[in-house]
Amino acid sequence: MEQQGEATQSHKPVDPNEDLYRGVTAHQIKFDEKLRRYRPSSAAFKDRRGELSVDIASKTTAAESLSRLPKSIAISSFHASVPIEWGYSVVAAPVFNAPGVMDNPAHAVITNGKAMSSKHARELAVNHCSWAIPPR
Amino acid sequence: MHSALLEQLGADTSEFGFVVKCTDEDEYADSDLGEGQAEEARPTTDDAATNAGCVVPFPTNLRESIEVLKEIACYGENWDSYGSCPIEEDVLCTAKELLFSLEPAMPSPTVVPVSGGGIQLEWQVDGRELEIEFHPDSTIEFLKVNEDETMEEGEIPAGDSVHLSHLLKWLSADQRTCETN
Repeated sequence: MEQQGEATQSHKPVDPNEDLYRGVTAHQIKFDEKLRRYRPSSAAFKDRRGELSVDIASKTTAAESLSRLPKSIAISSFHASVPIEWGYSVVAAPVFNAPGVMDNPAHAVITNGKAMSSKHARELAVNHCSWAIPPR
Repeated sequence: MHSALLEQLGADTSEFGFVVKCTDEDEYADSDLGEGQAEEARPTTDDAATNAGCVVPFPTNLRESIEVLKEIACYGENWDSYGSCPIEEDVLCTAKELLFSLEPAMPSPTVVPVSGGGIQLEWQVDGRELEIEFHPDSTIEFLKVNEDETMEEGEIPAGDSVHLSHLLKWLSADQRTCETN
């Protein structure tokens, strides 16, 4: 994954108490008829390459995360404990000195060897995430 | 929502594998033709298929879905800022085929790109939800969400149109009518 780039530190598990940020593009935002509000599509939490890139909130700000993601128009936030309780690993994967990629000491990945299941991605989108920076 | 966001993106939607013409009711209702003549003048899919310009009309309710699909077709490398590859043509075509096969009464799905090269179609109908995700390796995944929030997910073999059809019938009102009779 590009953002992992030349990670210069070994992957350490992220504390379940951390909040995580995930950028959301314009086409990954939908109006939920049940919730009566805009939320990320579950597709925003899937990555068919097997690892979902996120930022660790305590190591950055939502505004900084958004500035590193020029294609995103909003930042969603959720607790690391949610995917961890579902059996996924959340590990730090800071990026330094990777060609063509901005340094990102807050970078982490959610993985268990394959993409997040449809059920978990939808559950995350509907019940466990909020907007750190809402779409405008 | 999408329209405003697309304007922000300023993406070029002119390059896609087909030409689209909306069969907007207003286009004909506002013409100089009488009511009956306007009905006769409205093109059908068969008419359009024989046109040299390969104009393919689609129901007005799918306009937004098709527009988003066209936008997604223009995505380049790193469209998500997470290093994703562009959405592959096979994925786009499969999604397009499903859109064009929908019954006119079916609501328009939300079309969503997936990092890694997939596309997801999403519906919410009367408390039920259906997500169908097309993968670059040709596999298709689905997620059904019932009114009580119980969920069922699974994989559909490539080319299994019967399974897809059953999912869409489950979502539609027709299926509910059949179940209660």
